[in-house]
Amino acid sequence: MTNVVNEDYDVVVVGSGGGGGMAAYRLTALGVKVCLVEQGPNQAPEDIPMFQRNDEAPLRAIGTPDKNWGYFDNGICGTWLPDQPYTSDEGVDFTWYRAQVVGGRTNHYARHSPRMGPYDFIQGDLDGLSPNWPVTYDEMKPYYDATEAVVGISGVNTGMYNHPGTPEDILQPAIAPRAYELLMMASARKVGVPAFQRHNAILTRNLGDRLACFYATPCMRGCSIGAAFSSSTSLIPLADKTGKLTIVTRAKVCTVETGADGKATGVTFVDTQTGVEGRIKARSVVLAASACATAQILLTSGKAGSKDGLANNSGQVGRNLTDTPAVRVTGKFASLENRPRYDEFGANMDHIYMPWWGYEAQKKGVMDFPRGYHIEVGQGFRDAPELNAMQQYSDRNGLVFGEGLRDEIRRHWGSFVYLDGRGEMVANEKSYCALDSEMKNKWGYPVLRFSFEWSDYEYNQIEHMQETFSAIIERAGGEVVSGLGASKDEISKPGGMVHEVGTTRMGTDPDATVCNPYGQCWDVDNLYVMDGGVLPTNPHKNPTLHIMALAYRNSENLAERLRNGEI
Amino acid sequence: MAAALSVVGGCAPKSIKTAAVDGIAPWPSNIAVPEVDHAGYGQFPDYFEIGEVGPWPKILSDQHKRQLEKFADLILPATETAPAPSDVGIAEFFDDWVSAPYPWMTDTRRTVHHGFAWLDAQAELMFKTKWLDLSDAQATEILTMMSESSRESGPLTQPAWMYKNLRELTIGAYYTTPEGEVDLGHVAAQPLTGDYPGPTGEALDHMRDLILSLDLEWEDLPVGPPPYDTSYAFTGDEPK
Repeated sequence: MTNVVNEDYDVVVVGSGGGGGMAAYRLTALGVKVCLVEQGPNQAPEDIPMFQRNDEAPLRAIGTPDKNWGYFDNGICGTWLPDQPYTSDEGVDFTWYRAQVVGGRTNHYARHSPRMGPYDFIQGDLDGLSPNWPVTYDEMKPYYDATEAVVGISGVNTGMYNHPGTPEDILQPAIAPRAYELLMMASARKVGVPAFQRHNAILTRNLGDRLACFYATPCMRGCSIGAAFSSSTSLIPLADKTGKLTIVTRAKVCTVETGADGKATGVTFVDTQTGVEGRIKARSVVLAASACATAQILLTSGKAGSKDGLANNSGQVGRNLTDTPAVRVTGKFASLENRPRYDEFGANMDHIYMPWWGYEAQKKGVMDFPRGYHIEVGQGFRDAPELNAMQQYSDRNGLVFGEGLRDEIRRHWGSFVYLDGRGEMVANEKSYCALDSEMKNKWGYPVLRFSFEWSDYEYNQIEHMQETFSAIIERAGGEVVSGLGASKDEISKPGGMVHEVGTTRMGTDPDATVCNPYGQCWDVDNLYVMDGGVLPTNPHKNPTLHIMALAYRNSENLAERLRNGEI
Repeated sequence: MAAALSVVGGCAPKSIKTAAVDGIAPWPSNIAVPEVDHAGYGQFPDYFEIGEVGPWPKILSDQHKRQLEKFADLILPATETAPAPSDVGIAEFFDDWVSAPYPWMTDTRRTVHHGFAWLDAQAELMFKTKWLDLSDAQATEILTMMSESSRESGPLTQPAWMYKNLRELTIGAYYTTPEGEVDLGHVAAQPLTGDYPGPTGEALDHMRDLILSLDLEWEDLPVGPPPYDTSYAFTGDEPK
């Protein structure tokens, strides 16, 4: 690890994912001297195992306690990290997936990149169940444009209400739908559900030093050519070129330090390999450690004996925690058995989706849930065979063996298609994270404790998804084989979609929010939050793009205040 | 993102029935199972160093490997065009699996050690010989009995679970090999230059015929590489 203790920076950015990477990119471009701190290691592009087959790994690359999401999942990552445990309330099974590697969770995300629309910013006016954002779509539009220009987005614009498009000079060509995606598009459209090629943060044309996708390797392992966007390949190298960036890896930030005037003076960290503590000084601090980890740092940063933490006069740090409610309904299609084979892998991620279409119905009050969802489509024979998945194809006629089993597996391979619902949760009082009063991690700092409950808004939405997905599958000639149980049983685990946001909300009221409309903490003038913590709501439109667009915008605010001497 | 933690084949039955039943050998749960307490491959393995099997010591005997090969080759017998599991390294896979120091391999490790002793005893009872010396027809008779028995109750819960567990692992391990993929007809992704074409040829014809036969619209679908027809539109969602 670089010795950084005695060096002064303009900004120390904590976390190198979408928010932190974008902050580093934008701040350095504006001439600001940045120290980017990442608790995981760097994984150089040449060290990414892009082409290895599952049988070129121990245990056919399945998930283990060491690598929860599979052997090749990029970096030190998982819901279970031995050095950094967390707890949940009794009866709560919160899964907190963390990715400790340069680029953070942008190495792992689905690259789905829908914009929020005007409607999403003003839910406070529309249904009153959560606050308006302190910024409108019109104000954010230039920052979406700028963010998408550097991220690289392929897809088509839907032209639909509340689903804003990307300017044609930025948007790259969409990717051809797979066979089963065509079937689902046609069926959805027939039953009144819109279906389009989706916006992916995957290049179909070269962009700067990054190359277009060659359609052959899993995005979740990382992408050494930068076709699949990640902060590590697509933002941090650009920041590095400015000469203004220092990267410190394997350093877990524990607290934000403050001076006698209450302003942040830097951060403390532990070297995760040696346990040695260190300190980085800076004129300002940006927390982008991911929503819950940022809340943890703030709550841990209080004066000795104070339970309330730093920047928490509102008492809202850790509150308003939301994730994406989700359900999977799987269809079996006799018409797809033994279908003609072809290379169905494509760009690995989904090429199509069904955007939310029920705004008018919701306004009329004919639905029993307030917020929208979208539908994702998967399976077929897109992915290479996986050890855990093969039983699905082999058990259709009981546990047969011997002659005939090969034919059965071959026949069913590629004949399942699932629809995944991705909804919007309304924040509630019972869902939050706080410091555990007893457990500490190996370095002596308190761990997080999660409280979480879905409400009827989410359960009702899940039921609507189940009905809709059944209709789409059946209209396409399929038979639903799983996913139609009671919504309370079928809904995803809290945290399971890795879309936890809201724990340091931004807003216009210092008594009710943690951050001002620029992500600056109300209580600490030179402390910003630039991860999903600031999102006042959690629309079903995957959060990464919004986190990055806000970080782009709010970094300009920080840079300007640094320049004009306010900080 | 997809969930990734799962236990292949579920969990072995906890209650062990050893009561004597005519014609069925008792489950030998007193046989010692090796302890496995080595480190795993760690949270940040060197992918290019480790390779196909984990860095932990392997615990299976040659006899266990031959017994597993016989079992696996009965599950997926070789054909004229596809090799048997024993020809694509199924024994090495099982050795890696049961030797791995992770919790969800524990049941299979125990099952292999108890189960092949049971198969030997059962073979002795039915055919006066050992599992490895059974003819395919004789071995098939025992496997059929295991496959048709309940994993919940009755005298064959443990053999039934053994069958399901080893069958699933055999299938999963086999079809993740290059030879298994060929037998499956899976077309592995190949790096492309230019745009991804989507389905072509027969695959495209099949899908067009299917969509039209279902009385669904084909003409406005975005088929093949860009550019795309933009005639499809969705309206009526804007709140009034």
